[in-house]
This record gives sequence, structure tokens and C-alpha cells, in this order.
Amino acid sequence: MELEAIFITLKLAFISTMILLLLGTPLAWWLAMTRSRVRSLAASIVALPLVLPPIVLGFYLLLCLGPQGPIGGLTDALGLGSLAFSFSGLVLGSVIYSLPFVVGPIQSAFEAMGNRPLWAAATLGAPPLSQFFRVAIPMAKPGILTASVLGFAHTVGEFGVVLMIGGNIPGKTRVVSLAIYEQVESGDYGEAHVMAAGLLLFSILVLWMLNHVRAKMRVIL
Amino acid sequence: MHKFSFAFLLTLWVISTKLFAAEIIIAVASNFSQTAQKIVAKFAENKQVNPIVVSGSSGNIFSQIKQGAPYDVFLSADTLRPEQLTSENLAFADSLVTYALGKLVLWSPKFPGISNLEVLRDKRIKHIAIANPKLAPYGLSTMSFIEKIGLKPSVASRLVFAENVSQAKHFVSSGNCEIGFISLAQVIHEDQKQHYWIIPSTHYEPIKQSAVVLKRSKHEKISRDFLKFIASPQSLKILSEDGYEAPVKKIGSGH
Repeated sequence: MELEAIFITLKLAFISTMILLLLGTPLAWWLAMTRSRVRSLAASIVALPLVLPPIVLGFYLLLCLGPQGPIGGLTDALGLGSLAFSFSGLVLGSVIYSLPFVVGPIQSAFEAMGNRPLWAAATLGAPPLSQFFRVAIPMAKPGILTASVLGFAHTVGEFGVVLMIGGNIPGKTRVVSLAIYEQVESGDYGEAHVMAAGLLLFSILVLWMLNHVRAKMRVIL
Repeated sequence: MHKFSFAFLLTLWVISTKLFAAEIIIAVASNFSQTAQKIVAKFAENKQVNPIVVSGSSGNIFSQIKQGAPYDVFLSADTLRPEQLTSENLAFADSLVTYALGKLVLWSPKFPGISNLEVLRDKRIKHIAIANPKLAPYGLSTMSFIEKIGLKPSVASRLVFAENVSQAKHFVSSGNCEIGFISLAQVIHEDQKQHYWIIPSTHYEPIKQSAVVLKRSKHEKISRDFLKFIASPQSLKILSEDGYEAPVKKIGSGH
């Protein structure tokens, strides 16, 4: 068992999910409520990682992170150095990669809620901000829960992007999927089975728990 | 009318020669696939043979063969895997042959004129790309070389592990690594000489690339002919132009 790789993977998934919830919730809100013309374009860009092969995403990210790339140029100018082959780089990659899995469920929840509860809150004198925090967010709870679980699980299973921008550095960017890949490729099936079966079990458990909790929530709401 | 029947017969003849041409599938380690294509093309000239080249990492091809992939010949990037296939009775032991020796280079478009390893001590070098020693023979060779000359402590924290030498090259060419250990074959046609340093072969274990004919093959004779052809002067010329060295002697012969 590669405990270090497991730890890095969980840390990556946790941090990425937190950032995704912070960024994704307002984004989902905007996508659900706006009538702006750029809405469909923005929605398409958010959904892009769903259809794009992760290797394509990783390839372009690597080019962007390089010193000639836009992100690399920026981080260089800020004196941060390159994000490639660093944990922060993986977080950036994961946030982009898992974005639709977080924005999607929250957006659907907001859309299903509709405008009426907000109008009701408005007539009771709630300003827009407290409409959002005290009405919309609590009502979208099941969606937010789904989003966090999917974002977390999807980041745990990430492979193509980390393969391209990670550099497989033990203790820094070596995650479970890379460890499994390396073991399979080098013919170490025994070790690979342990980790792969663990990941399979984890995925089933997560999805089962999610469905269970959602079913319960539906009863309450 | 006669014209048509002639065309018809001609078409039939063309189809039939294609149909009756033996089809052999040659599975090649990706690093060697371009060179293999050239050699295969030469081999197929004036022959009733239709060779197909598929490429992948040696480890992947090895796993596929164990699961019954329909390959006839396996050109690996190492010797370990072909040996393992013969010991598992999946390949003919007497067909095992080292067909090329790979050469390591230290490559950096940013620091021209490299002529030794001192450049690695440069503080401006933050990331050094090498192929993963657990996956790639070139990586293994690089790692043992770095360890042997005692350079490991000063470079260990800056090493970045690529899946294979191709990815190591990509890490450098995209500017994310300042320097990398890759194979001569990858730069010999593409880059200027001052951008890479061919590491003297006395410094490291040569990367012995070996091949075998697989027992599953339906065209054993043609497959064996192909491995003989790889050792021919015609083929060795292609090899050396592409940055490989001719192997010193055959292994596993005379069984």
C-alpha cells in the first residue's frame, strides 16, 4: 500500500472540492438565474471537461503552465515560479477538470427551486444577499451535497490530467491513479490489485452513500 | 468490353495478392516505432508480406501479449520483457535477439554547449525530466547512472518523472523542465548538436532493446526472417542514422 499516494490523493480531492464549492456555487447561481446572452457560451465552457479527453486538458494545461504560456508567464512575473509538477498545479488542474461535476448539480437545484421562494422572501423584506444565503442555499442542499461528493470522487479518480502535469513526484504529485498505472505497467499486478480494488470499493461506497442520503433528504423536503 | 474484363481481372489479381500476402503484426515499443516503420518498409519490398506495425509502451504490449494479443513479433525497449515471455513459454527462446542499443543524451534547448554533467548543478535548473525508472528502460538506465556517479543527492529533489522518454522530451520542449535525460533517437533528426550531449556509453548500462517471435504467430518463418533482416546491413544503416547503436552480439542464439 502506498499510504503517501493515498494521502496526497485525499488532500488533493478535499482542497479541490472546497475551492470548487466556493467558485462553483456562485457560478451555478449565475447560470441558473441569468438571461444574459453569454449564458449558453459560459455553460458550454463549464461543461467542456465532460466531453474533452483529460489528456487534451492536461496537454494544454502543461503548455499554459510553461514559461511561454499565459499562466506560467503570470506566476513567473509574480515570483511564484512554475505551477507544473507542483501540488498547487494539480489543484488547478483538478478544479478545471471537476468543474462541471460540481456546477451541474447545484445549477439544477437552483433551477428546480425556481423564482417563487425568492419572490416570497423578497415580499417579506429579505435583501438579495440574504435571499441567496437564507433561502436559495438551504433549498439547494441536496444539489450541493451531490456536487461535493461527485467533485471529490471525480478528483480521486483523475488520471489523464495528473499524468500530464504532475510529474509523478513521490510525496508531492504522486496520486493513487498514477501509482496504480505504474504498478500495472511494470507488471506488479499484486500491488495494483490492492489499490485498484480499494478505489473500486471507495467509488461504490461513495455513490451508494450519496443515493442513500439523497433518498432520505427527499423524504424530509 | 475487353478493356473492362482486363481491368476486372487486374483488380482481382491485386486483391488476391493482398489477400494471400501474409499479414504479420509487429508490436513495437513506442520509442522505436518510427525506425521500425522504416525497417519494415524495406523488409516488405518485393515480398508477399503485409506487415502491420502497432506501437505502445513495452509494459503495455507485454501485458497484452499475456492476454492473448494477436501479435507475431515483439520489439521491446528492454530485454527483460522478451526474456520473461520466453520463460513463460509465450515466445520462441531461440528467436530472442538484441536488435539495437539505445543511447542516452542530456538535452536542453536552454543551455547550449553541454559537455558534461556540471550543468545539472546550475541553480537555474529547477526541474530535470527523466523517464520513470520503474516503467521505462531509459529511465532505469538514467537512474543507475545518476546514482553511480553520486549525483543523486544534488538532483533528487528536482527530478520529474515522465511516463517514458517521449513525455520527458515533452516536459522539456514545453519549457516546464529546463533539461532532461532522453534518447538520442528523439533529437538526432530534430535538434542542433549543441543542444544535446551524448553521454559516453562507458558511463551507463547500454539500453539493450530485444525482440522475440511469439508462439501465437501463424507466420513463424516470415517473423523469424524479419528478425534476421533487422540485423542486416541495410537495416543497421537505418538504425545508426536514427541514433541507435548496432548490438554487439546475439543473445539466446544456439539453443
